[in-house]
Amino acid sequence: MLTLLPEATRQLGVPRAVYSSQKIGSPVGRPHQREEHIDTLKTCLKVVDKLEKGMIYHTSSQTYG
Amino acid sequence: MKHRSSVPVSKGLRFTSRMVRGLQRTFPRLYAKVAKHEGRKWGDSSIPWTPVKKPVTESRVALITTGGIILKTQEPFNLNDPKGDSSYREIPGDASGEDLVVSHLFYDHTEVEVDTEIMFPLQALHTLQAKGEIGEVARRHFSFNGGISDPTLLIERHAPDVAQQLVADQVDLALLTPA
Repeated sequence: MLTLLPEATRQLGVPRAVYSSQKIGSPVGRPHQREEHIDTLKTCLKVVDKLEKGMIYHTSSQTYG
Repeated sequence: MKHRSSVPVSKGLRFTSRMVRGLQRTFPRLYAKVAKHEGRKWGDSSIPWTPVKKPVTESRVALITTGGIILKTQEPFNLNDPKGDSSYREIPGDASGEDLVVSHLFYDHTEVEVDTEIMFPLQALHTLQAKGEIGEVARRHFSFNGGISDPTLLIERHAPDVAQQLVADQVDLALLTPA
């Protein structure tokens, strides 16, 4: 899951999540910024096999928590 | 072009919708606390887990969104349902941005109306397939309406339905984008 609300996501018990600091309503990026959208997807896919149960990857700090 | 589905909603719901969007925009930390509280109410201490079985470059990938994205030809979500409409819409893998609109009350979708990719990045996923960064785009994807105050039906019926369809389609990875 791509999340904008990491604490709520943690409470819900989401198995794998990536936290992006985009605003609510545009989780993948800004309108018509296709490279940005692709980068967001690539980040999610890059960490999918590194995330452990319940873990959230923070894109800004590139840390797992 | 505006990607928006017009459905009449009651005055009360319009007011609630404005309040929620105002809270998101003006007091994001407070909104995050409210969301955390809701998460605690509906969360489960057991976290489901399925190991990744294939490299991403060989995986079939599907999108799931709670951003209320629907085909123009589909019935809009019931925005007047006091519990929140927990049904879902199937979006074919070959849908284009011009085929899609948003049907949702509880977030500011001004930008999604301009470009649905920012909520439902289907064309970006096709680009990743073309570049060999994923195995394949799934043949169908799924969209829910957010703002569900009572998720009982979602948990008991609609989410398991979607999970079964993803399994039937042999989807390896599903990415959920939220509203």
